[in-house]
Amino acid sequence: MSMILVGMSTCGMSAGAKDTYKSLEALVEGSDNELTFTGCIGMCFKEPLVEIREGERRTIYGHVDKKRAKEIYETHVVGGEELPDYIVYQEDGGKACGGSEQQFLERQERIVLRNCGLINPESLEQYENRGGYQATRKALLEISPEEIISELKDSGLRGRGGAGFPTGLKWSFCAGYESDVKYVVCNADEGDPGAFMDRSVLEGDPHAVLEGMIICGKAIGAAFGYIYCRAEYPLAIHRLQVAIADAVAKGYLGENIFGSGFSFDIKIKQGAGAFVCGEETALFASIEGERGMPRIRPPFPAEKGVFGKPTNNNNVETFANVPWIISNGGQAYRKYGTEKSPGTKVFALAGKIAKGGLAEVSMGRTIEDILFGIGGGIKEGREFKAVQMGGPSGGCIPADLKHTPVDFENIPKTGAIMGSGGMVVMDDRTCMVDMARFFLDFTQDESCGKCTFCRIGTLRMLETLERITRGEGEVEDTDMLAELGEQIKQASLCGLGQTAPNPVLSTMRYYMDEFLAHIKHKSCPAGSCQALVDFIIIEEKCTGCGVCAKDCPVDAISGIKKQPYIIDIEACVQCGKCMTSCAFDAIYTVGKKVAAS
Amino acid sequence: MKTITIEINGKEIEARPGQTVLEVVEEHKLDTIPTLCHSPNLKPYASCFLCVVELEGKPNLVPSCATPVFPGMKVVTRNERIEKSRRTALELLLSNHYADCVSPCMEGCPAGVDVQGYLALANMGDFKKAADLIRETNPLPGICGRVCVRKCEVVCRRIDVDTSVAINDVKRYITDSPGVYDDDPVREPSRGQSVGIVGGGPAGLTAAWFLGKWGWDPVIYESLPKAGGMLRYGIPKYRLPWEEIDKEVDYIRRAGAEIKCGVEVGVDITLDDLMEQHGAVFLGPGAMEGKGMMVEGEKDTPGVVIGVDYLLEKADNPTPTEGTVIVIGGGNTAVDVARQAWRVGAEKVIVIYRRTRAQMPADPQEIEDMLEEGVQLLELVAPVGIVKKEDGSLKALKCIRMVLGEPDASGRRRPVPQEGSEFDLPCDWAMPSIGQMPFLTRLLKGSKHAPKVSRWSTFDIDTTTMKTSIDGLFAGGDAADDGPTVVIDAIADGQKAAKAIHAYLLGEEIPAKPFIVTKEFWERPGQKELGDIPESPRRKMHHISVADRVGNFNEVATGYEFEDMTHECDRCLSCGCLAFDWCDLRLYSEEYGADLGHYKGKVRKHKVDERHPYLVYDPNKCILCARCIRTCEKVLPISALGLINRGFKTEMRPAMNDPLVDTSCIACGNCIDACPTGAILPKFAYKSRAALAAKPEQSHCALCSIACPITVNTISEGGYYIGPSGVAGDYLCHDGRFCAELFIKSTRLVEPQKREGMVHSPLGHKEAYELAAKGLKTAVEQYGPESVAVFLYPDLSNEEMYLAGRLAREGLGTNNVGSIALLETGVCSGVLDSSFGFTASTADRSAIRDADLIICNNLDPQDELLILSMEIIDAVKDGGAQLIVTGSAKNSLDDVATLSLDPMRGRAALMWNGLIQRLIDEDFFARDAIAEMDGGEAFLADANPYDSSQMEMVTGVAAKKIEAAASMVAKAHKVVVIQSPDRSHDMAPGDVQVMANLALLLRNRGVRGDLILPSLAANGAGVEVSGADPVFQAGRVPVSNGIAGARSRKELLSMLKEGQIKAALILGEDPMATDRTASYFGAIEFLAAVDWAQTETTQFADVAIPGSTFLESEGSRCNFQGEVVSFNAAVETPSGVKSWEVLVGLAAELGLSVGPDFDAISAELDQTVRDNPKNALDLMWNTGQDRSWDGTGSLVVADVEAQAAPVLPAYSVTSRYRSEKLKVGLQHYRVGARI
Repeated sequence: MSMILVGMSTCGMSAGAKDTYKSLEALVEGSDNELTFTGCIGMCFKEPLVEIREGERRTIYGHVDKKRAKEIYETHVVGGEELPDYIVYQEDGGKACGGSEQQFLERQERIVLRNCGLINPESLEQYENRGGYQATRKALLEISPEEIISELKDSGLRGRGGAGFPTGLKWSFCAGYESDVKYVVCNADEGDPGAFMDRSVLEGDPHAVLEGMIICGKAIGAAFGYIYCRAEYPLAIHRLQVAIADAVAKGYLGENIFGSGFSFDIKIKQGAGAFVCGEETALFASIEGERGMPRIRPPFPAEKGVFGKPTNNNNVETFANVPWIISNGGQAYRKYGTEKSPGTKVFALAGKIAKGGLAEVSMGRTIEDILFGIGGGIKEGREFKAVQMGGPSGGCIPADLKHTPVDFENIPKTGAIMGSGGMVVMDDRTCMVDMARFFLDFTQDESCGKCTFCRIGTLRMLETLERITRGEGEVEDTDMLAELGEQIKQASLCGLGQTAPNPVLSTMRYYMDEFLAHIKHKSCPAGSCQALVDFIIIEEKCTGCGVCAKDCPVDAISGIKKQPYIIDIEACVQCGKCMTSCAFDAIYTVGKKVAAS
Repeated sequence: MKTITIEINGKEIEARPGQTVLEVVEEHKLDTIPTLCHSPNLKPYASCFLCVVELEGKPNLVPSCATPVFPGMKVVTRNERIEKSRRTALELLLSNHYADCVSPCMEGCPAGVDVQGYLALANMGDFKKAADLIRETNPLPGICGRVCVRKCEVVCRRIDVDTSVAINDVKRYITDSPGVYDDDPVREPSRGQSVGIVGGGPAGLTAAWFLGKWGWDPVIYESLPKAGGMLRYGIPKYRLPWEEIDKEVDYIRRAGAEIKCGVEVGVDITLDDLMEQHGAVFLGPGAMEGKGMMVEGEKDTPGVVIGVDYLLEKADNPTPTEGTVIVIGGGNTAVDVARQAWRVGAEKVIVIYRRTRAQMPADPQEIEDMLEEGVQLLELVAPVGIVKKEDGSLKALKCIRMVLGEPDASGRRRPVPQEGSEFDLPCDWAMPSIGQMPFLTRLLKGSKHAPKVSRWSTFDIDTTTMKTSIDGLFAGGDAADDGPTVVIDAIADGQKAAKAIHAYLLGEEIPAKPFIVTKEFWERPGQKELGDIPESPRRKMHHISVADRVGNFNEVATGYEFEDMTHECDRCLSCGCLAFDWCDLRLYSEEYGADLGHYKGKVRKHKVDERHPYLVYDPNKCILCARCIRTCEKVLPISALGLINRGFKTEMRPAMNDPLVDTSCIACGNCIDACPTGAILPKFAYKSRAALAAKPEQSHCALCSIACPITVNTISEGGYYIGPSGVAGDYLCHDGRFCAELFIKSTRLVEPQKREGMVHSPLGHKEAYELAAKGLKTAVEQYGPESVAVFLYPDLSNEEMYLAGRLAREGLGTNNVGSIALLETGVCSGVLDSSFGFTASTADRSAIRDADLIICNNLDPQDELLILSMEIIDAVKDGGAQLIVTGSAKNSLDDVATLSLDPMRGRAALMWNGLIQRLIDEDFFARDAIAEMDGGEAFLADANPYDSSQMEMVTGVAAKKIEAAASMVAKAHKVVVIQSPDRSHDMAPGDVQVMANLALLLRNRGVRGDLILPSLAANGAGVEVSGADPVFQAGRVPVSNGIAGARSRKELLSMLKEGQIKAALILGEDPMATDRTASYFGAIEFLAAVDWAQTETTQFADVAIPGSTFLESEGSRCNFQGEVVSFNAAVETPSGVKSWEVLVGLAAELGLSVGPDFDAISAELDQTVRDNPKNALDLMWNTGQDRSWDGTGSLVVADVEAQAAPVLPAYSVTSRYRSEKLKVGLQHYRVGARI
């Protein structure tokens, strides 16, 4: 008898896991094999993933479409013969023993993702089988709130939302305020472009988050929790709903949990997808039914948070760490990571990375280690240019600094921030000016509109960047960007505004020549900004079909049929039509070759 | 209180915990920190980031408005970094501030005349103020009104709708109006230093005007016999009559200018002399030297006369010119010369011009007039030579035809001679009128002070300071810089020079031009933006017929009619911002030297929302400080305003993005005061909109008994608006703020009138008094004093009511005095006297803030007493108080109320009585303790007979709700009951006493219980104290027995109903307006009425006498918390006689001696009240004692039997205004004025 698991997180589903699951369902029917689903195991680049579990032996197949599912079922499950070509990872007795992507998982250390990909997230039983709710039991029955907090302080766990504030300390603040009503808030409003750590945790192991919140409630004296989750995460919300309902049914939530006399309820609050609602005071306003806008601190949330009551707010990943720490002890947690940044961190690898997905590693591993050791380097073997960390609030770390250890101490020195764990990788075809423009465009759209600098200042910066990418930049523009960027950072109320210029400032710090190439030479070295590139035809790829020449509105393309065509750069108006019409990817852009003015 | 020590700008300061840095800085006056989003009335918000300061240990700047102080903090409030950040914040806000600080016409006028302002004043009919406003920048409005080239009209936005507003023609209307030049201009005291002015033309006159007004002694030296320069000697009289010039020159003289005519500087006195005699000298000699045609022989041929010389010669000596006249040129001078020649007898007049008519610089209207008069125009013709007769005199002008070639530097196509097209134009006169230049030779000859002169022989000057190369010597007008231009440029030069000379003499800097933003910075709004405005054609100027112009110098343009003028004023789009003077964004931008263009980029353009009847919202001006939203949150349980969208697209919009008028907005207008930039502005009750100086006068509002302090801002006679006191935390309700519309738009009674049959005829005040007195006395004689009565509306002042009481009792010998409105409510006089020993609120409004349970009975605070409602909302939302509202209808505070009780009409007293019974039964109010109270036993004996379910049946209130209310009362520590004693709706007999019982019972139990009694009528609390009541004489002295008439309100009402009243004097009430009360007057034989408006009652009255509104008369009123509040005459009363004066007049006719003046009456009343000691006087009158109630009194068995009171009509014009608003909603009151 085999257990067949299909990865059914959002990443798997979007790769077609539903169809895979359906076809397996038909095959399994009537057999003694068991079909179930699980969360994201991290190898999003190989989705849909199907695991065949036979006792201690786990075999994970990648890119399993309907056809391959049938093949695997018939050959492996029924026939008992493995299909090594499709195996991405194999493990026996808890030890990795093969598969094309063995190193992807092998090199990780999994605390937060301890259950992701292993259990059915909609099965409380499976969670319990892996020690689920034991930490809660301990926290409620065996140790005092003070001991919970001191355990957390011992662990050195720092907020995984990005700021890295010591969690134990934060809890102790809130515990210190007297109030008949207090709240625990779980920030599941993950909004950074390219970040999906929290979603994966919620989809793969929702009970871990609930447990973290219950323990927090006990520690600070709160009986009520909110999970503020963006409505764009319907699957996460669904799994949370299932988890809450199961936990309530089992008595893990509600009145008098474990007979401890402690009661705790959790409600999911769906956000409308405003990025600023990741800012805790704005998030609170949104929970209260007000427009999501940041409020002034002080008073701090620990004193007056949701509905003016003492509130402790942590993000999903932070809470997911808590049960592990309570079960294994703070000191055990410290075995991972560095002295000042203990523990592990989940990263979402995205962009031009070869193996996009989730990776959890100890803090302090280098960028190179994560991107190349786990992520397999750059797509299509291109050159690594930079990695963007911390989303729109963060910054770019250039390839030169790839030996930087990833932790709360070293990343900020580069001008970027740790952030919540999104790593957007860029190759040599990424234009840094355009990248800065992209992030600024995002923050400008997502600014709540309250503060002058953030509301109008970011637009003025964005307009300047747009001008630069159109080739209308002037040398003074970089000074303007730097100066206004600094001012926006200095005079904004919340983190969004205070960090909005970061992507611009950090790219200007490392890629000034790229800016100047745009401004002075009207050329985009990465070949990305359409107005500032030359379109050329790669002889080897051109079949001489002539479609491009026909589509060119200015007759800048000429050639003889069946021989490579040529673009007259002087005549070209950079409309890009040829590029879209070419069926052979033979048209390419390079930075405009114009003599320095 | 414990203080904490902080350091600000290196100075140690003691601050209180909880204060913000901004508050401390302001309190100790350490600096002026700019802020846009902060308001002392509102909680910190921190959005504009203007108030940033440096806080030691913080890398970022912090907003001082939201940063609380903490011990040891070190703050710097000003340095380069901070100032730069503030400037950037302003520049960013400005970069999205698509608005006009001033109108384009004002910007377009070289002299900066406030066009929008004077059009507005003209539209209000205040021509004197309008003229004065023009003269603030241009002392020659009458002249400009006739000859200005109207640069303002060229840039008028109205062009994009139809045609420009006829600005200049309105200006002429203003100066043609009587009284505009009658007064002496206001002049600063003489500074004892003189300024020499060379030339009495527009530049010199203007300079003299300003210097004279500012206290310098200007002396004009004019070489010609009269002042005016080119105005007088270069423009013919038919266009600019000399009387107009004389009028304005005389006015300038009265402003302190000495004008020496016939004195030529350089000949009669030297420039050096002037420099010696005067502190500074201004050169404005003009450019009166005409240019020739540059053809051979022109100088020595008789018949060739330079155009300007001809005008000068003919100016005062219109001798005939015979034969054919050719005028060369295309400017106004050429046209003037031609028309002049036509007038003095020339047979044929031809104007030749080298370009075409379209390119002529002359005013198109003038050209048209010229052609109308028969002058011929030859286009594309230029002179090339002179053809002489044998005697050497002029025979013909040799001309050449031209064609238009390529455009030249001026953008006009250059005329090119057509070879071989020469022809002779026979003539007797040739008058080149092609330009002038200054003639400075005699002026400067041999002078030590000769300034640098340009190659065009104009003075070389710095055009910002008007300084020449010689210290203390200034120049302007046609003789300076770019040479001859137009009158308004000369005026602008004179104004600039005056400012420069003023600053020079004081050793100061010339003040900078105000910071302004105009839409043109981005783009002229154009048709797209103005498309909705309906077309309304411009009115034509009226002219005399051509026949009437022959042989004379009669003024051709005769001016506008009144309707033309108002039509044009109405066409003004009022582009300039009304908030110009107080817009914080503009003022800070000026202070911090913000650069409008620094962050120029995308700008949001919005439609101005004018749909609300009282407000105009211009989102373009909004800076998203959210002060309006946050203010609205204080007013309404759920704010009518909010923010929509995100990022740059964020906007302040009414809830759900509906038009504001369709939201829960109650038009209180407090958002107007909250807005720092003029994005929300009021509509006015008078016509026209402009940023005009207003005279503020403090007074109070008399629309309800809160008597809020108000500021009455008078723009001009008949044009005023009301605003709050200006003290932080003072708000107004809709009625208080906008009631000006009622007074301005109602048909006023302006003179006394008598009625004979259906005919009304006016009469003098004295006659009216005699007639009224006679009518009343006749009735006394015929039917006895008990058959006459004096009725008054309880919003009259104490003094008016006091006089009314005396008039009745002493003048007519009757005790029949009272208010029909009060009689009808059924509430007896001194309703709480048996409970408390007095009838007044037991506490002031601070009790609301302190309370933990507020009970609103028999009133809807938001609709009726908004300012109290705001305090209630604040106590609930912020102070955590519980709120019970009671009423049979939906209450607007239901949304914030903890509990809404809805007894059937007239059964509230029953319900409360039941609730008290419940608390007794539960032993919350212990029976034995009650038994020991005054009246306790009787009270206990009259136990409420109903059990819970019966209570539910008889009151309609669910038993559970009454239970809940009872338990809220039982848990409270400080209870305040707010109850309107005179609101007929929902009134239940006895409910005031029941609530008094509740207060007494609570007090007896050690719980603070208070009763606040806000009357709806403004001076309801003053009726009894002032003696306008059948039970009480002034000072609340019970009425003695010896007088005829009613002894109670009830008795007076029944006498009225039974037709026993045969004659009455009615003050401010309008019983004839409704059938119910009109029917009481079926048997009336004589009626006299005093009111400020025409009412049905004044129409019906045998004698009606105009009274004054509360804005128009001094007086005092008792507010709901027992304070005597004083009112000022902020506005003049149209009849010139105030209500109290009318009463004094009537009293005199009745043989009563009162007064003589207001102070005496007021003092007499005050003394009477104080001389009659009674319980708790300090709760009813300003005695100087603390207002406090000891909590003692008697429990009273109240009559609570269910009985619904009728819904009573409004009894006066003001109360009708208030109640109709509630009935029909805002839409009804849409103000007619276009904005």
